[in-house]
Amino acid sequence: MDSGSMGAKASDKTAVVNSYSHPRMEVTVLKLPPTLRSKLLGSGFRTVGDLKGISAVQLARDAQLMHEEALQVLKSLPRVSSASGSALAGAQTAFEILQQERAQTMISTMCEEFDTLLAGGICPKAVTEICGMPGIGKTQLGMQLSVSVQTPSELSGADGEALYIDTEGSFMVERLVEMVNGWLEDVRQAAACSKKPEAERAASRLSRDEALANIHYVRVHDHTEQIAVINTLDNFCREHRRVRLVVIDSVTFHFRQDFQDMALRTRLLNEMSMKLMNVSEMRNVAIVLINQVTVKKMGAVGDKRNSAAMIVPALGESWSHACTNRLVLFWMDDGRYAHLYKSPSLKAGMAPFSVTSKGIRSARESRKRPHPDYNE
Amino acid sequence: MASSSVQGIPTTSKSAATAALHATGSGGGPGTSSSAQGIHTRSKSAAAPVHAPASAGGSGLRNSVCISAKNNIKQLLCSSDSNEVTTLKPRRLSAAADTSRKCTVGCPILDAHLRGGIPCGSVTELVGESTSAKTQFCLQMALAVQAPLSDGGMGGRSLYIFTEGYFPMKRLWQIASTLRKPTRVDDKNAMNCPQRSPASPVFPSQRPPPPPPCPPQCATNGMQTTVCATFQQQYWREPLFWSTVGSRRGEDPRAEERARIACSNVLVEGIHTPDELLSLLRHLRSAFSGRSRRPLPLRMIIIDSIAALFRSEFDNTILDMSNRASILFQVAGELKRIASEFQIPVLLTNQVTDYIEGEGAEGGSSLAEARIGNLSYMLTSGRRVVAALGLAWCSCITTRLFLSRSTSAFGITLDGSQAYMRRRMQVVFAPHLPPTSCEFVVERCGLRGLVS
Repeated sequence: MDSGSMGAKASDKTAVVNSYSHPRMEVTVLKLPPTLRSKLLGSGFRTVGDLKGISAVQLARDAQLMHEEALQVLKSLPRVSSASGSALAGAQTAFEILQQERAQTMISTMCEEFDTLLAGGICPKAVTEICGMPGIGKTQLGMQLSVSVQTPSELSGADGEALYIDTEGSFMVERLVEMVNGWLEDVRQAAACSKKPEAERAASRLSRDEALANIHYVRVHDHTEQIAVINTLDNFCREHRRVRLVVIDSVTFHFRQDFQDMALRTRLLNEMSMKLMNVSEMRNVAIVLINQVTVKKMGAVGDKRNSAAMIVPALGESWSHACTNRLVLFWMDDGRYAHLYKSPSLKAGMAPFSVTSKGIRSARESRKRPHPDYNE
Repeated sequence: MASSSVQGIPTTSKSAATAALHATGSGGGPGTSSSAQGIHTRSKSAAAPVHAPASAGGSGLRNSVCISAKNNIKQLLCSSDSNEVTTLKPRRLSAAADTSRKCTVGCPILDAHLRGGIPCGSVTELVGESTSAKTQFCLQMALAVQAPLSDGGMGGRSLYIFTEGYFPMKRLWQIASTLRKPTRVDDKNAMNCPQRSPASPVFPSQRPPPPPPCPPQCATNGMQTTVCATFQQQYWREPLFWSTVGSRRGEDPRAEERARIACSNVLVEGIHTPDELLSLLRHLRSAFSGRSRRPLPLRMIIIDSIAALFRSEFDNTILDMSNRASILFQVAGELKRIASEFQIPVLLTNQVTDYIEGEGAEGGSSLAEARIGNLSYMLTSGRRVVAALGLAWCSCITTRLFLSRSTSAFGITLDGSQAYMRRRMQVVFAPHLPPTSCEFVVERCGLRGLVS
């Protein structure tokens, strides 16, 4: 084993130890050049606790260091320990998390069966992926969610704003206006049925123009812009605290063009998914990714008899880890269905839904589609 | 960033993207990605000329588009158009400002069916068997886009890229000389279509520039006629675009004149390989700036047909198929970028292939059975068909319309004795349209919808 790999191993270890910071941790595990470490040890600084609360000037004097070196030492100290003293201060008990989850409001899809499948709707603090064939209604669902996220809290809605990141140009405002009108109608009806005066008041305050203004829209033209937007997502959510939903329609399109280097693509995608998960967790935002589907050839190449083809979500195997929940939309018996394919907490299942002029609604209300027949 | 100038990506948006990347402190990954993106590295494309060697149909585009890359960038830097992209900065929507414009089809019934016409800013595909009137539709659109804003048009020129056979110049001339103005229908479905008035131009940049110093040439080599500057001015003051009299030849004294102007506003380009198409699209940007020396800005792109390009060029091997998919996605990306930046409609046509029963068991593909869009199956002339170019291409387009023919040999009689073939336009998928269908016939003056 050569010295290079040893060094790499040692620094890996340091990183691990650094993440659990403890006042009794030895200074030898800090990420510092060996000369600095030995100077610290030589002047009596043995543990991280010894370095606590000391100023750079003081340290430079006591350990006979250059001022820059002293600053470097202080910088290398684990931040958590200097702030609270306990590494686990940010930890929560499972019960607390349960309480928080119970207090969360889901984003309704406006379709009863769909909401039942998702136990109330799209979950905040999670990344949900929606995939399906072209024309199945992925964009419609994305638009519907960005409207229904605005349902007032008096009607147990999320009462938030939405950010719609459009990479494909399939977002049509005229369709959105239709959906907003349908949503307003249904919300007012629900408020009237609830017989609660505050709900009725909240519903009467809603207006079409305001609902539209609560949807922030970005059009993204290539993958560089897409990554840039996702990198600035955290800032955006901090500035717009009412944003409860981010829809990316679709996450796929720009990553299916022009990538000769698949390893690079995978890396970029992984980085993106990490960022998205962080943002959803930190900012309490539901993230909905819309994905396309692609054909996967099974079986040996060239073997015509045994090879079969399957329709699978695009972006490959590793991308399936990028989302917490995955919904697959598909056609069955002339009707649209949603299949909950992946979820950490819910049972897999199916639910019918339909796309009406008002938006996504229950399949029961929809009429049968007339089919033109030429062979009469 | 070297790649941005090669690709002709506007410097503004690109630098904004990089700025945002650096601001958030992750320049590394994406930086490498954009250089990796570079220009397409197939040896064929590196040497591919921007324009096809002179072929059938000729090209009026050459003058306007064939501007060197250097000029292109110069134009970009000094242009302060309203088309300037401001991505990365989310904007709040409003119904009045953001409802996408539509370009009329030239027939009120079809317009009502499509809720105003072909939407701007997205890619619309027509799919159908041969003789299902795809080209007729395209020719009509190439003319209808020139209609003034007040008539539902875009007040601009169209670029017609043809890839199979020759350009049907005679038919274009015929439609141009007989095209009638669509009368407005008060349709409840079209309520979201914004009312346009000539007093409030939607695109201020579309104001016609002063008459060109050199008279433009007619788009076709068949008729190298010079259009007088006076006609151009007249065209703008008093639209003589639509035929005011009946549809029969000879009745309208100005038919000839009108057809000449209308045809000279259709730029025709023959493209024969996918790489040619890609490089043309990448250099197309300059044609859209309202400052070109041509009288009208380019306001529509038509490709007839996209399938012909991609069905002939590639073998049925895995490597070639993945190459095909890659170029398809790049073409789609380029088209969408142009459509969205300049807010113009893009219209493509696609072919169909026959659906073969039981293909799933034998040919290793059960995908022909996979349902795409509103129709559980596509039926034309009594045959079951599927759209060409596969699933990957499907996810590249925004709207797909299916044109089909009936099996009946007689057709229907509308006025007089002539019988017309019954055809149907169906919405396969579209973000803004319900799954409806509409019957139409092809007349001398173009497509005409039938009230069901």
